[in-house]
Amino acid sequence: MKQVRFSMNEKGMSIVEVLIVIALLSIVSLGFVRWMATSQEAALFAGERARAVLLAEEGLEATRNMRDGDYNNVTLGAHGLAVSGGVWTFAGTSDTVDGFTRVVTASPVDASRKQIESEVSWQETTYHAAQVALTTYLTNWQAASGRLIPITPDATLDLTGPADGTEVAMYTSGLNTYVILGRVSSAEPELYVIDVTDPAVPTVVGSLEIGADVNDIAVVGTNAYLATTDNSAELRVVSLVTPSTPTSIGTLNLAGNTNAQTVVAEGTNLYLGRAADSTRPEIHSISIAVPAAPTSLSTIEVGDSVWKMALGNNDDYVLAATGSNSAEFVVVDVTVPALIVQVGSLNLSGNADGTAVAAFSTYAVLGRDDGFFYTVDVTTPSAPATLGSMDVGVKINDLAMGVDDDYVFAGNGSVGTEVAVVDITTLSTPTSYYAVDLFGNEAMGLIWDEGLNRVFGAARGNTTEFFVLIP
Amino acid sequence: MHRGFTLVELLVSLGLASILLLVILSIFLSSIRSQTTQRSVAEVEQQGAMVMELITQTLRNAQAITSPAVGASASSLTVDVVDATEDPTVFDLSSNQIRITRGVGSPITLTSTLLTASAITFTNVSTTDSSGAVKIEFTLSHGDYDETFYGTASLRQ
Repeated sequence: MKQVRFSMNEKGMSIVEVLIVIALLSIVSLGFVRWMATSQEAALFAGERARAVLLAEEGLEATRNMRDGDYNNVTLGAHGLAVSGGVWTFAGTSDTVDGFTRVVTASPVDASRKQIESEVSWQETTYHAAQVALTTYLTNWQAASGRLIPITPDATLDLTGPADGTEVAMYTSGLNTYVILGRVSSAEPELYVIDVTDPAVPTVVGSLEIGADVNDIAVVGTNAYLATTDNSAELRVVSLVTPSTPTSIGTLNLAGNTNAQTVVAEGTNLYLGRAADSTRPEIHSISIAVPAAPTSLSTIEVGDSVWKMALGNNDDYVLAATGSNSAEFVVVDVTVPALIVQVGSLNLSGNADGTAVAAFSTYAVLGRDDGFFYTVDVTTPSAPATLGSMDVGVKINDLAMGVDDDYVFAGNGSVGTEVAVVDITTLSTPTSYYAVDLFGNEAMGLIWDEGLNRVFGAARGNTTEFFVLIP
Repeated sequence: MHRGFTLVELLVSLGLASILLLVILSIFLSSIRSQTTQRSVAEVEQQGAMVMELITQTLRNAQAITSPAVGASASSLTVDVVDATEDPTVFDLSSNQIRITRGVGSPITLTSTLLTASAITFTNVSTTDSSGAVKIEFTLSHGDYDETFYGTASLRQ
């Protein structure tokens, strides 16, 4: 029995040995199987990753193309992408292709740059989510003009005589671009035609003696309409068909002797604003269907001087900056030129006159005699509302809208910062963006031209009646 | 008693050996299968990435998209490139292979004969006022492994 037991024990040991060997072998082979699975997974994962990178790249490329169309297409936030109407557009907060989820996030960097992150995530295994993210920066290169600082004087002109510049307007004839400059009355001409085709070298090509201050200029086609201090010709029409020889072709004498201060025109209609006259209206609607013979259509009484006007809300309204203490900003409905009606007004705190106004979309910017600047919502013309304000300095003489209506150039009287650039990207908080030093030459009239990427201005100064700013 | 045990021992060892052999065989087979799959995956993924890279690079450097027209889709892409001798450069699909034709030259196949390319679609997704963009889609398959590749490229002109 003992022997049997012994030999049985011996056999038992052998089986244990075999079991150990099997166990070891299975561990090794399991490792081997695992290794094979891993290497196969690795090939798959690498492929998935490569495709995810392609999709992420597609996100950046699609966003870039949207930017090429319009920088504003790239709205901030997290987006999905979809081809809609034959172009890539943002749709929803993510999009899914073949199990890959893509999120394109646009975040702000500064006024003309956005950071774009394209992140693609997918389930590599049930338990592991993988992602790739690509980042790029997109710039608003198309609108880079007018946004770059410093803004510096590109050129100035010293016109004969000491008379100050008052206002500027622009027109094109053939391949050339001209600025028309008005001056206060003197022995020298009051109207100049300046060729600014090469803005760095402005050249006076023609001038005309008006015999009175030219306070404002509006151009329609090849005719300039001047608001003057001439008591017998508050409105004067000058033909610019030949830029070298501007020719007076018509006048309109308005009743009374108060000065015409401002003029705006569109199509065959012109609107003229005058200084206060207790017995006569200040805003005139005038037909310029026959440019040589302007005829008065209708008028309204504002009760105080109209210093500057602008056409707003799709040219349906005239927005006027006035001297009234209870209505510095007045909205006039001009949809029927023969019957213009004041529909709304805005009373700003304090008694400083409204002295400058410019309009865009359904908004306006207003400048005052005390140097304050306002953004005004005119979406409801009967109830214009102040959105924001800031102090620019001394009396604002003129306002000109800059690129994308995000910036406003404010010509004012503060020495050293005669042209203030105000950032109104956020209408409720206008902020000072830059200021141009004109060395004491008060900026009186301004105009921005996107094509030439220049600001042209008229200044009060013996040696600098005309200036060009390059952003 | 001794013989009995020896027989049992023989049976056990035979049984164990056959199990072991089966295991080894199955490992061997799956290793071959895995290798085949890996080759399929690698072929498809690498060639797909390479073709996509070539198309997107060509587009980025191109001067204009000749066809398809804006908003349209087609199975071939014709671009106007800078180098006059390579103008126009055409990408298309022929006999299940993606090809590139540069200028008057003869077509060069970009994918290997081992792969089957299909469902190639070029969509001109150019936004108005932009220099152009094309969305690219194609499917590559090898054996029973197939993948669809997506990409978009914007012209840099």
